[in-house]
Amino acid sequence: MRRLTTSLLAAVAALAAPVAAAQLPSPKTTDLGSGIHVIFGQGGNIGVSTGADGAFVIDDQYQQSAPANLAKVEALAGGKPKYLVNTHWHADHAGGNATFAKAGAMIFAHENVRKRLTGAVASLGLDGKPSPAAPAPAWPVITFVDGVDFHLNDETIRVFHVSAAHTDGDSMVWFVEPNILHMGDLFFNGIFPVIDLGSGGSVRGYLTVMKETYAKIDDKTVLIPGHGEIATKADLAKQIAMLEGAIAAVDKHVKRGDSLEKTLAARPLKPWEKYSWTFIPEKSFTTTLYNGLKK
Amino acid sequence: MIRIILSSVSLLALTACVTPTAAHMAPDLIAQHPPEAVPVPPRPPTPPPAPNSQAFARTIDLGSGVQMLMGQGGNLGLSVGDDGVFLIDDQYVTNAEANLAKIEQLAKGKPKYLINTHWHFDHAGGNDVFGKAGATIFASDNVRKRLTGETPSTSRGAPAVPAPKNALPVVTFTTGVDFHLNGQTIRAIRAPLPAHTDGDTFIYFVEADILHTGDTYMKNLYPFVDTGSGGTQAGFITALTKILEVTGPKTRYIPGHGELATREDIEAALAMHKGARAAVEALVKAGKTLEETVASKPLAQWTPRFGKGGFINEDAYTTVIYQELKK
Repeated sequence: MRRLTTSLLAAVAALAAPVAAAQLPSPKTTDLGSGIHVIFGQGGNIGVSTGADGAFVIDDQYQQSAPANLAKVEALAGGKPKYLVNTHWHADHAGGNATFAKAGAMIFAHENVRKRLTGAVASLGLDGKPSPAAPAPAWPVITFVDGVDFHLNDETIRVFHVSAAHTDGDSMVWFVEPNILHMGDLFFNGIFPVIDLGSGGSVRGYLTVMKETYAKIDDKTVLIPGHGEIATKADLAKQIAMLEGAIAAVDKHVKRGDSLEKTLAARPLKPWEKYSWTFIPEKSFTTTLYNGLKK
Repeated sequence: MIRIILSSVSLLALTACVTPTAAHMAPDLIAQHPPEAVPVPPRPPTPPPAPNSQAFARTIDLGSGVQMLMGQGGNLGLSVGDDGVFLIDDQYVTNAEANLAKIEQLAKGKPKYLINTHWHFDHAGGNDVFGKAGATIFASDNVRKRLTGETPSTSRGAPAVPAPKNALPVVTFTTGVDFHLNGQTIRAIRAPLPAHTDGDTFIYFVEADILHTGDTYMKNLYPFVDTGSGGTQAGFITALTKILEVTGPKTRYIPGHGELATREDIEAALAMHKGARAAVEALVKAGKTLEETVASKPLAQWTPRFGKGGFINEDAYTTVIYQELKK
């Protein structure tokens, strides 16, 4: 069962890459003001801060889409990326690291991101086998435990680690003065999230971090989700309500001692079926919640 | 467990000490010490020369691409390799250009990473020059706050703030960061409590087993507790305790000032700090005045090793400890 779950989760990263390679429309961008832009494309949403001190980038999507994204960053910023932060290690967020590093970007991430990219800590992927290590140029050069602040482009950019949630190496990035928060994959706006139990993620931890984030932000905070459209605090509230309800619904079966098969057959997530999407259909998310709660 | 916790707490409480020293410490810092609160500022017998434009004079190759550079101001640490030039501290504004030129020659490239152990201008005075040359400057959050003036220093002779934009650290941290460069893990560790200042960091080259102490340690000298920049004597005890925790028997230590040191040197300094604090505390508890305390020479047993150089003599160190304990 656990193997099935991890393989489904790993499929998010593994299967999406060829798709990205096949079709490369120029990525869409949104200007959030204060020199901050979001690049939407395949994979996770990219945040960019531009200004006199150089381009600062959050995540870089897939290896295959990296050249297009790099070109887009350069066009937005008028120069090469100087600093890059990975919100976590997944290939749809950090897959372009080597390309960006070769272009001169200094890569920052939580220490567990580096451990997973080097292979020092196994990340269970397809068939429960460890994912292969990334090439050395893709490894973050500067790692942290709790976080770092950047003082750039007339902004304070606060990178902070959160406890085990989507993976065990998640960070969020807060542009303090313009009040814009990139949540990494702690926010899949309007769709079921990936909770990567094979990379140290935690179902209850994920909900806890979402709630902590909700308590920290205000009604004016602009949220850049890891996946999905730009959001507000109200959108985050809906996502939290979904996750809280879904956890309670599945936990009932876990507590009762139901098997995974029986739980799936009961369709406890039916009330939230509109959150299903290509990589995380209802059945997959039910399985993740079941395995995560059973631990 | 409880006993262990209690004893380490009382250790913190009872035995704080500091070891400043500095044959080449900034004269302004010397002149400014101690801050207004301290009654009798001891004067250095022979003030060090004013900083000039000379580059560091000595290069000590420690292996693994790591070098210790000695000249005026604080000792520099340098890592050279395929991934770029990494530098610890940059001495004075007056000799920054010369240091930069000499480092470029040594390292065959400009410094890419620069980390400040603290904000003093005999360590971070060259930031503007190195920042303009392209180095990304790292430091603890309080270093930046001191350099911008957000947290004003009350030390007399403290440099004008705000420092120029290029002199300000671009990346700041609270507890530390790791660099993975030139085949090394380079671990910047924030001192657990304010010691020399409230923004001290020491830097450990893990595989090479070399630690740059910043000014939490100056070889065989009583410490300079810059109370005007938030420094505390208790912080020196926790800093050196932490340094001994993260390092091993064969570690080589680059002091903020002075020659390369060994574990025995650090242990001796820690013992001195603890002992000095306990000795002064006994007098405070006995109700002695500052004058009586200083006159009774409670640090006499450590002075042969720690009171023979620098600008903090035993009376000055006694005074700092006394005042901290009376707070």
